[in-house]
Amino acid sequence: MAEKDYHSHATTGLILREDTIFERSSSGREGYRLPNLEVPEVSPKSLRRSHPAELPEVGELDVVRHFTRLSSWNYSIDTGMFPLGSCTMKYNPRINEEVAALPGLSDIHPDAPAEVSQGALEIIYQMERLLCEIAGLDACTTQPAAGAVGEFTGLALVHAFHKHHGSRRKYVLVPDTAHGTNPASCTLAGYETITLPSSKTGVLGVDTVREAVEKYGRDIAAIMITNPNTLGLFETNILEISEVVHSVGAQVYMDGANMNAIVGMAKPGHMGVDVMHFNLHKTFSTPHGGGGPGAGPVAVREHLAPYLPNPRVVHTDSKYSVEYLPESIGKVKGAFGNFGMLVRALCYIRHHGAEGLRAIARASVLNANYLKHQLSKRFKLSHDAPSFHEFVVSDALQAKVGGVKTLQIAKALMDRGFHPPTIYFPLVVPGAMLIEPTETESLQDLDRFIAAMNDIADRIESGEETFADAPTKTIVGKVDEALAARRPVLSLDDRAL
Amino acid sequence: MSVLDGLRYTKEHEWLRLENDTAVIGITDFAQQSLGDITFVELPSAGSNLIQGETFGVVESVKAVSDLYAPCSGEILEMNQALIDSPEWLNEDPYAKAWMLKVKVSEIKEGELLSPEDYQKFVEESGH
Amino acid sequence: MSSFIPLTTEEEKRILSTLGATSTDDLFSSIPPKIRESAKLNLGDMSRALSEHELREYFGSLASKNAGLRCHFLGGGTYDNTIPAIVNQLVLRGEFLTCYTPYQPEISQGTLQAIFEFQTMICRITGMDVANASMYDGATATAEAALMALRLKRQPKGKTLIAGNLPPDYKQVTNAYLSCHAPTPIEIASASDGTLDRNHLVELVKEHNPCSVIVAVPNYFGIVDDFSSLRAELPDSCLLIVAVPDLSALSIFEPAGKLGADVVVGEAHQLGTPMLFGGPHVGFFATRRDFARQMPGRLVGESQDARGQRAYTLTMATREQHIRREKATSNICTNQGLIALRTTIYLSFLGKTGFERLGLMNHSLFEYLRKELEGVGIPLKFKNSLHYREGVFEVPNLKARFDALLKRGVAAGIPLQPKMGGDETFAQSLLVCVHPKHKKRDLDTLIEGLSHG
Repeated sequence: MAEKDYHSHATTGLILREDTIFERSSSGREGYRLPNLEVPEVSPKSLRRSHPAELPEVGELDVVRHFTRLSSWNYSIDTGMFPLGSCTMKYNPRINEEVAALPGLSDIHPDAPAEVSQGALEIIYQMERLLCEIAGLDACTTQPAAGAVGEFTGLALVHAFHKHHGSRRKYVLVPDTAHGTNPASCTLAGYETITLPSSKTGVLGVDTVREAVEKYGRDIAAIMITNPNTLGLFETNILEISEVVHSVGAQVYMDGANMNAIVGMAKPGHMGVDVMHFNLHKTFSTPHGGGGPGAGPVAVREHLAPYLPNPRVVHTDSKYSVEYLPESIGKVKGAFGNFGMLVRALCYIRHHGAEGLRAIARASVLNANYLKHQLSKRFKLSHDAPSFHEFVVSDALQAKVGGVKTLQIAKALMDRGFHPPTIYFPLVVPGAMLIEPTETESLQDLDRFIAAMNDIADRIESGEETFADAPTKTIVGKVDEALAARRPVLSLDDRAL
Repeated sequence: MSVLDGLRYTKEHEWLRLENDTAVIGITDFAQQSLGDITFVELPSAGSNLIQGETFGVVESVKAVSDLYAPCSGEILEMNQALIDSPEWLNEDPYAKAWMLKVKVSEIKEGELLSPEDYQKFVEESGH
Repeated sequence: MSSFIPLTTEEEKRILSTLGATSTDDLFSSIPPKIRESAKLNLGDMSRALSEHELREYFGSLASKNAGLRCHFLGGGTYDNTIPAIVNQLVLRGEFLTCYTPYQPEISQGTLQAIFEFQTMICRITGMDVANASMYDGATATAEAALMALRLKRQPKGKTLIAGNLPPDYKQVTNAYLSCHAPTPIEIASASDGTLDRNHLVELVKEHNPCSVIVAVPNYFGIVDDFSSLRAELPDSCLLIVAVPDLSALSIFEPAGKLGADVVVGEAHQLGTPMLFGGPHVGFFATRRDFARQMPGRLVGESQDARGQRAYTLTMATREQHIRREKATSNICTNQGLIALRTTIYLSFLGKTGFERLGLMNHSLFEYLRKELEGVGIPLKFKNSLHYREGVFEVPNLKARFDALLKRGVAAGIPLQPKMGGDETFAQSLLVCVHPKHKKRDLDTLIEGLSHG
């Protein structure tokens, strides 16, 4: 027993319970002191709120303890390895946070006159320039607030382009190995999705695209392709696919969520791509923050540039200023987008330089292939093809031997001190576990993860465990998600309902 | 998985039971098993019309959502209001307590429905 | 190699020999050669990697190029505030900063409970039943509300009316979100006192039978419109959406939810997050209980775990893009997790009395400014209307006075003409906003500067 537990890094320790902040409240207690009001206090003459909003009444230490305790219940990159495929959970350098918090970069207003915002405008301008070079494309907007907004923005640009050329198109081709958000983004951009099946080898076949192009012709607005795709495979036919798609005047959109694997090793602009988005929180290490904020800049080829969101930051006579494009799609986010994330990403890019960015792609692919090689000895590999930064295994062997499914394997990993991979995605592989180690994990940590996975496989094979009750070492056990959905309690005040 | 005799089935996993010219409609045991813990049902109210083959509502589990397809055409006489409040009945008792609609039938295209035997075979053959 | 890549040359060799590969380049061989060969990055003067020390210098110099202001009166959707030290400190905890969307509830209870607390606060402040885990910002939240109305009314090509006195960003983002697949929103005019032109609204509703009407409290001119009778004036077939560009307004004004709004959306960054040149900020989205299943974005619910303890989880996920795909309520994936956390910590600390005091403070600072500026012949453009924290002043010789103040390090406000599409009637108009950092002497500097030259 002791020997096997060697690989088990999660133990139970002193974990402190904590009710909601409202339940810490004590009537009359005051926390933060606002600045002194140096003018007479007056109250609105009408429409005055009759009852103050019932916010907590707590002191500074209450707040600090409350949120510190809450934080201790989260698993994070800082806690341990987080091989969540397609999310690129790599280390978030702290220098990024330090520079982003500089008062000259955080306490600035988007409507301040350009002469006192030169530094901010320069950051936007430089980021757009750098992303153009990385993409191999001609123009870029950093306005989209997240990858999903980037997808919508890119498709809206395509929509504007076709409209300008008097063409009303209906469909966007989306391979079944694309990111899950793509169809919803198509709907928002007014397009219907045509799903294209990937081939047995996991990549999109040229013939599949050709058939669709023959069938739908000039009703196709674009293809939306994730490259490398969500199986971690490079779309090897991308050049031919682009040619076929272009032959009917349709555009090639690349979902750049997986750029981490190819930054500095391949440029989308050289694959025939017309428009793409980046996820700064993936490739360029801005923190995920428990679900945002992200940033989803979009890069385009020249012919789509006239439609980019306003305002545009320009550099003339060694001064930065903004200008407005007459044919722009307008705005996709308030002000200039998630500027604070651009600062972090710029810091990361400059920390690496050109060679360093290449090294990211190389190390992430090396790590993923090592992990794949070792894990494929015990888990069923979805595709035996050269992998990039991530790969897919499934529960097929464990389900057959011990009836144990992916969900249980994921929960068992928690008890061994790891965040589970992305599970049940991509949909093309039943019981999928999408594993992305990233370049910031050391060989020693990869080996620990492999040992934990092997330990789980051992116990299933020997019939020792089915992990039905896992996880057991976490602050809460398996959460009843069905109850939450059947009887929604979405705020404290719903408890009484 | 249970398939009851005396009912007719759709390929989308709804069942239909005829009582004179009234049809009772629900989803099959197979449907509830594949969805998992059902958390929500959306059904049309009495007075509205069904058209065979078209969607009339939605069932949801924690991480899946499925449209419901009408096995016949006609006017809805009654909707199972209690089921809306207790969607878990669909897991517990899909053929009885969890009936969804009672419909005054105007048309049934028999060719689009399956017998219990054929439905059983359909489910097995589609690799489920 | 970079300090973030732990791999040593020795280890690289070991991995390659395990894989039976001779070089790392082999692993990229499935990329067509034509693409691989032209991949070299040319970052020009940014090719070289900088050390941490050099990064500090680089960003320090960029920051200094933004440091020309010692005081400002800028608002219009982005608002300044003092931020408690503990907010900045707590959000830097790695467990909050570097975790993911809480898909695995057993190891994400901290984020989940904090979001539950955020949802509760938004409900209580807006007076609505349900609130989601947050949106990108107030502008995108407004756009999503308009989309929800089209879904609820089952009219994908339905019409939307939008108040002309919403902040320009809110209007433009809503336009962009709708225009690809539905009619572009129709603008409702403003009355001569800066409030919503109710007669025009009635006409437009009659003519277009819209799915929703979007109004603002306070509006772009800082005016708190009286909407207590508005719901009754609209047909039941039309949703009333109230956008609140500054959530702090609801600390002292009657919450929109009490006025019969169906959806209340808006912006909450001013409660605990710096201005950040306009982002990341945080939008909120609150609505009636019966619309919960048509909401965009993430929702956290309270439940139980296998041991019978209280536990939180993401819920009603079947609305979302990864499950319902092209039929999803929105394509939104993330919320603004960390910024919503800032808001939650800030509002916890400010508390029930502090929140009210913040509103009174903003209101009082503005009322002082209004009175004093009127005294020196600079009236409010819409002087009979109720204002909160900002307002439009008619400043003689605006450009010269604005520039003179700017030379002294004071941004006097936002000149409105360019924001109002060049409208001549705003040629001398300046949108002036107060914030809690303002001392009396700051206000007096502005008053003096705007009344001379």
